[in-house]
Amino acid sequence: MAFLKNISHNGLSDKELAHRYRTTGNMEVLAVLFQRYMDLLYGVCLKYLKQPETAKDAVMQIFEELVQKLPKHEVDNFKSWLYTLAKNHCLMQLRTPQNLKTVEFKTESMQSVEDVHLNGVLTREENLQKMEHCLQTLSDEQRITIELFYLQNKCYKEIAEATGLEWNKVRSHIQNGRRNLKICMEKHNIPVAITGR
Amino acid sequence: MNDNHHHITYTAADIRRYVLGELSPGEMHAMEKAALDDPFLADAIEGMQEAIQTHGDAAVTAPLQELHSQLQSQKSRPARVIVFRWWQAAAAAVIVMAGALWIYNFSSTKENTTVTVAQRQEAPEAATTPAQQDAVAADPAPDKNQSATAPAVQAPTNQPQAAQAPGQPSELKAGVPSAVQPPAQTPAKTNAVKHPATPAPLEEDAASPLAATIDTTMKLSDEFPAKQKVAPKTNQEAFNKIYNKHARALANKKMQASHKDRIAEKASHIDSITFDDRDTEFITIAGNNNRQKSAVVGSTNLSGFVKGRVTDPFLNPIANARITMPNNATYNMLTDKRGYFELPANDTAVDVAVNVSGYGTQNFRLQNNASLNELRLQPANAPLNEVVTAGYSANNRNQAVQTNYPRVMVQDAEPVFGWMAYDQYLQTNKRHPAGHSILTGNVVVSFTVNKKGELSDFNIEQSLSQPYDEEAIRLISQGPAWKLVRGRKAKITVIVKF
Repeated sequence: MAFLKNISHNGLSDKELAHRYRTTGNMEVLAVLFQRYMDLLYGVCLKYLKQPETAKDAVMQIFEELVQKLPKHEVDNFKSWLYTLAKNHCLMQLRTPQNLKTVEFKTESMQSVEDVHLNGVLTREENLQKMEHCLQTLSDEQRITIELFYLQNKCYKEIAEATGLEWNKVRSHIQNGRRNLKICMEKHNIPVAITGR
Repeated sequence: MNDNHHHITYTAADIRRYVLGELSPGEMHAMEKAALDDPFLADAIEGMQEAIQTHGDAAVTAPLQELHSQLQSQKSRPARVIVFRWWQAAAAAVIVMAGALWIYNFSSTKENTTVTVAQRQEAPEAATTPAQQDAVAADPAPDKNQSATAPAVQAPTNQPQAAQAPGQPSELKAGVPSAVQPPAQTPAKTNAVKHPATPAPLEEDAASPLAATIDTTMKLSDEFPAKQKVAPKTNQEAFNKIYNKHARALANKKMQASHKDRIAEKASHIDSITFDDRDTEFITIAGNNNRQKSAVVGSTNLSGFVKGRVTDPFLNPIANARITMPNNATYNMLTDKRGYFELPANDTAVDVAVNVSGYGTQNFRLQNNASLNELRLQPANAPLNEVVTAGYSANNRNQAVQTNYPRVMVQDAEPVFGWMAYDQYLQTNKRHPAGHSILTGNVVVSFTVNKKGELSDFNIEQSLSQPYDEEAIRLISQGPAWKLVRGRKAKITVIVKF
């Protein structure tokens, strides 16, 4: 029976599951919902907390937080809300004095949080002209990496091999390039779809 | 670029493979593209990447397995009931309001009680009551009203204390919450025991104008009846006890305050007045010195002092009343401006005489363990114009007018300036109708007071004679204003004595 229940639950959207939990308080519902993102949560916690065991504890703590908080908040986008919850949890944990240490700030290894989703724009025929123009405004690395990534669907690794650029740099070039394109396109009054997930 | 990729939820396994280079370039590209749009995924990839590089694959994936199995056990956790928030809030609000109202009621009655009756002379219960009853029965004076009516009526007159029981509850009604100090427990219990029969009948009586209580404490009585109704005898005790504790506490405070107002001593003789405690709230008249009034109080702490307060029949405090002890001529003092006094005494029961102009000398028996004895004087000589009547036995006034009305009645309204002032008004302003023979007697008038204090529906309940009736109505309608004590309009009965 539980097996069947799981199946049925899996078909529901995040929002539906969350609502179901809110109304029934059924832990199983919550567990199913949580399970969808637990892996990602683990990864995020790994990123901030570094240690796998600590990350595991953090994930369980976040689950407990979820048990308390989900009933109280009307959450529209469960995934991003959960992500924020996890980040806050990790950052709070990191605030203990011994964790404060200075790290060199490398701009190229910084990943920016991109809300811009250019994929849709890039495929729009009518905007290709503009896009071509804007692409020219980018720096060489950015343009090359972006073209390789988006137009040739190359992964970072391939691009790195092709251009000789470092993997991290490839990534940051692509991100910065995207942002610049967005700015450029918007300057010409072309709405750029924004996704925030 | 497949939009489908955006709907893929990448698992840790996928990420792991990405990190370990086990994905094809196309797959990698897809994940990278997804990560560009999804910071959640991006962070997860980063985290896994670093961790696997630092700690190795196994160290990273093992805890994740544990997480998954732990999550399975979470599924069997009992469901949390979270909903119904709104009605929970509503229910909580109602309870809070109810509690606040109760407390408000409680505290307002408390205040009143301490003012009025410090202690309930619940009476020398068991032992004394029977004796008193006999004495009372023998007492001719009270008779007048006694014969009348229901137990409730009798209560006022202190008569057949059998009916006392009713009296008792009505006393309580008089808002003697404090009074309800279950004196030492046993007496209280006996009282309580007697009450059972009475509460019921009394309650009904209370409804009628015959119910007796004191006007000044009417507010309390209003509350009390309600409480009385609710409390079965056993609860009464409990309730009394609780109430008494509070009253006592307050009374004690006042006693301490009045402690400082001790005055010089004088002497005076003492008669014994006995009357039933139960009737204390009733302005029982006549009280010729036949009854022994015992003040029964709840607390059992002997303090070496006997404390008391002297009030008039309407429970207004009487200042400068002379208190003396018949058994000890050395003590002689005056009550303070709030009617309080204190006598040093080591006996458990103390006889005192109270002398005040207008009341003559009246005796009381006070309890030493009481926090406060209440000495309510009976208007022995004062030819007061009784607003609420019942014949004055001691007065030799026209007792011929046998009314069935108790001396004091529970009323839902009272004169704005109080009954005493109203009495005085009636006395000063009454005029015997011209051209008619001078009659003495009572005219009982009932009327309605509305929210605005307007009087209407005058009715002669008991007539003396036509012109006197009219005079009575004139007196009332031109008299001091009335205010409602309870409800939106009240039917008032006033006895005008000519």
